[in-house]
Amino acid sequence: MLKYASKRIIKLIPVLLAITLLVFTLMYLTPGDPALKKLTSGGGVVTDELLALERAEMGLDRPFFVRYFSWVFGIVQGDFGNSYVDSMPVLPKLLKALGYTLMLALASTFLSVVIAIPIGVYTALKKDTIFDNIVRIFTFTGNAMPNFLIALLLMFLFCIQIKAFPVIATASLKGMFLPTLALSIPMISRFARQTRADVLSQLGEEYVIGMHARGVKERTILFKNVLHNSLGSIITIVSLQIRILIGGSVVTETIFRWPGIGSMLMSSITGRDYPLVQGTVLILATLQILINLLTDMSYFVIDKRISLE
Amino acid sequence: MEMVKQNPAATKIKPMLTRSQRKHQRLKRKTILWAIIVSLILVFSFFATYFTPNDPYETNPLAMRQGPSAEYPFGTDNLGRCVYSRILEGARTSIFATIMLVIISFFVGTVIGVLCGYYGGVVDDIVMRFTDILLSVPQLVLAIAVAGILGGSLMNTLIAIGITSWTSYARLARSHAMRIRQLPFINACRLTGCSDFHIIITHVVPNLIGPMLVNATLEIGTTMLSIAGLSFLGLGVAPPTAEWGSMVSEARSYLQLAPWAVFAPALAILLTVMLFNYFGESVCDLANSQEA
Amino acid sequence: MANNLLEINNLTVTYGDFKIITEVSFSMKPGEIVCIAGESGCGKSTLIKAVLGIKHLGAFITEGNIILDGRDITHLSTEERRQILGTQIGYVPQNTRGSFNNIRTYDVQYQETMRSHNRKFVRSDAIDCFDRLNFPESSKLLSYQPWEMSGGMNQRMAIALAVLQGPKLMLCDEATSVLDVTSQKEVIEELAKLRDELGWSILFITHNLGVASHIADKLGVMYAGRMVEYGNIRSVLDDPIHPYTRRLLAAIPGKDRKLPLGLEGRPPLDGAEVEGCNFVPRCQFCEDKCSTKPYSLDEIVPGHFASCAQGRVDL
Repeated sequence: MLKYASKRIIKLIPVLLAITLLVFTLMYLTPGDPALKKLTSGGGVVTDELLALERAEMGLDRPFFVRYFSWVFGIVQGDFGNSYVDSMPVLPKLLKALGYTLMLALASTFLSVVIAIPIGVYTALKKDTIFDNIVRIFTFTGNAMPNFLIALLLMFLFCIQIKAFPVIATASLKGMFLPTLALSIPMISRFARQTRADVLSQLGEEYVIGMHARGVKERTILFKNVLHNSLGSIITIVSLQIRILIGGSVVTETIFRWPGIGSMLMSSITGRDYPLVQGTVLILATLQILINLLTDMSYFVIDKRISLE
Repeated sequence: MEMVKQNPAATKIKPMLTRSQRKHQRLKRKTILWAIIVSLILVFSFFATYFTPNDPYETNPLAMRQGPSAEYPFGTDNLGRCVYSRILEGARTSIFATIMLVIISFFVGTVIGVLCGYYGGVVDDIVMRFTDILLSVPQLVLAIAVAGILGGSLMNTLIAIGITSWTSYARLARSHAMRIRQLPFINACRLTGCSDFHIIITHVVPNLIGPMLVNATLEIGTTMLSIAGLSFLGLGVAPPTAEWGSMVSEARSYLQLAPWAVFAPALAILLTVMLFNYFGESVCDLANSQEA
Repeated sequence: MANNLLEINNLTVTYGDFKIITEVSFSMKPGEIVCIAGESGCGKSTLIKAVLGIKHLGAFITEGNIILDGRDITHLSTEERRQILGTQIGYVPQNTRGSFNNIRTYDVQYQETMRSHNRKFVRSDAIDCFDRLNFPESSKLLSYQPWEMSGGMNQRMAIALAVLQGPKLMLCDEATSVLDVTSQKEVIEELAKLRDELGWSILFITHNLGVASHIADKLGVMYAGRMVEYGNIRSVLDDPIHPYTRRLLAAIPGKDRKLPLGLEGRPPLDGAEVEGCNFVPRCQFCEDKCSTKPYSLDEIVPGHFASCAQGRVDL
């Protein structure tokens, strides 16, 4: 297991390098001069001389590969460069924002799993009853809802109509509530649908009959066997959803002004703060890759038939 | 042998067999119904701009942020423009952009996937590694970065999402092509001297186009949501143009004063996505019942 | 007849709105092995489903009753049913993956089974049991998962678990038909041995008359939802009465490399609904009265029953 993990991590290095190249190229190709932008934002007259000086200071006058490699070597040493906007190191900002995003992501994933799996199991058992149909309508709608609609709806209801929460989410437990809920609703829909489908297909398996024929308790069959065997595809959908969650957090964080990495991505893009954009994309990609690795390893824990190669 | 004729069992066989066929027929009718509804919506969205009660671009300082009324069914926005008319006007952009993107990524992805799966080798390795890299960056994050850098326009939004969206089609087409390539009849074709091009066009593609199309219909809803997300973040069409996602984005700042200006276009997105999802699901069910 | 372990009286079973079995009656004494043979679709598996009575299986008893050890078990509540399953009725399915969850160890599945009946699971007991049944690697077996095992081994693990649970009646639904000849022999010998040692009664469903002749005391032949012949195994095999049984016996592939004698036509799908003899369309001996005389299983020779309207036809 450990050997497999370390092997996978070593294999990830070229992928990460490729991502740095991709991100860096994107920023390089971008029209507009960050030095000019920085100088104009500070106000005052921009002379050619001043611009050249600023460009040299920001390292923009060097050739592409020199800039790329110095950036990558910096990252290896834990230096993601300095922000163009306030000249502060990028890494501490990234880590702080990442912390906030992870808080939201973990809370909403946990909430979704805890709510959706029992619903999924129950609707599978009560297939085609009124309850199942009502849940189906909800999950179908939740599945088709744009992120921003859920967030704005929650904001409208809780912040404007009943004024239970402030419009701008403070970084506190209370402030987390609405963004977490906004991220959870589509996930709950998808998890519940997936769980229902998996449990239904597992219930049709013959071993379920075999267990009934031995008089094994219904509870044991359901929660220790059927659910266990469904976990593989539930984990697949959870990890897929985390992918979408990372993207969705950009929208949700922007709406609730949550100081996470998603809103940082937006503000750095509009501010043309390239080191920060590069840093956020790289961090999010790394996060994604690690989640994929964890997912693959958890399959093995559930089902020993899956070989780790 | 005459006895067999009298055997009442012979007539009984029918209802047993038709049970699954009847289900198939029902799914088929359902799918056709959804297909008709979806095509009606497509046609309507194309001509919707001719049915607008008010000029979608005309600002009216006297009617700013008005609630729904007979004149403005969904109220007006910050500039006094009719929200209902703007939704109708935006339907073409929002829906057609989605369909275009799905068609293009479907086409590009399928072609690349089939070639990679059929020929394999170094090119296949390189393409697949490349998709690995693209897929390891969260799709919306990459799209935001690309759209943000390219600047706000509908074309750039489509490019930003298209950069990654073809990969899922390519992977699916590749796995099908690899499977089909190994079927005995393909070998038989090769032995009779058919060219690769001939085999791909007449045997490989027809055998994978079904599942690929099913996948594409299921993707329409997701694609629409991605586009809407980018427009909402202000990375879509340039401001005066009516487009659902960007309408929500513009109206968001005065959510408290004119909630209709936010929720009407958002609901339009929701309903359209639901419609496409229903269609996609019924196509998928039909395909599954055909297999069984 | 009080000493019968299992009595099936006039059983009619439907599946959906389709009648599968009609008016099947027979009884089993403790320690007896009864084989039920017949073509696929004749209702022999449905018979087992009806005795198991698990509602997920969809088999629904509309008439008649099933009495196990003096207790009517035809219409038990789900919980009452669960309590007798495993402890009084054991089951070995046809599908060798049908007893256990493929991706969890035998150990946890044995535990769950015992605990469901509020009994302690002692690992050494299980290992003793494996030794008694001559399982290879008996001490390691519990830590395996079913997918790591052969089909035959899976069936034997299911039988071993039944030994621990201690039922009086075992139901085997084609338990050996997908196994290769060697494993088939192992499983069958195991069952015969357990009958001798533990006094199990075994209801064995098979389409393989060779297997039946090897272990059975009684043989029942079913055709299209009806029991057409029932009696001591020797008597039925050596001196079959019903024309269908005769054709069935003639259809056993021999060692002389000749193709077995087939039977023209197919069994009727609604055979269970026909009033008279449902073998008429395929019977070479049928007469007018065959279609009109209502079905009944009559004792032709002492201990040997058949449903042919003509009693015994001479060839």
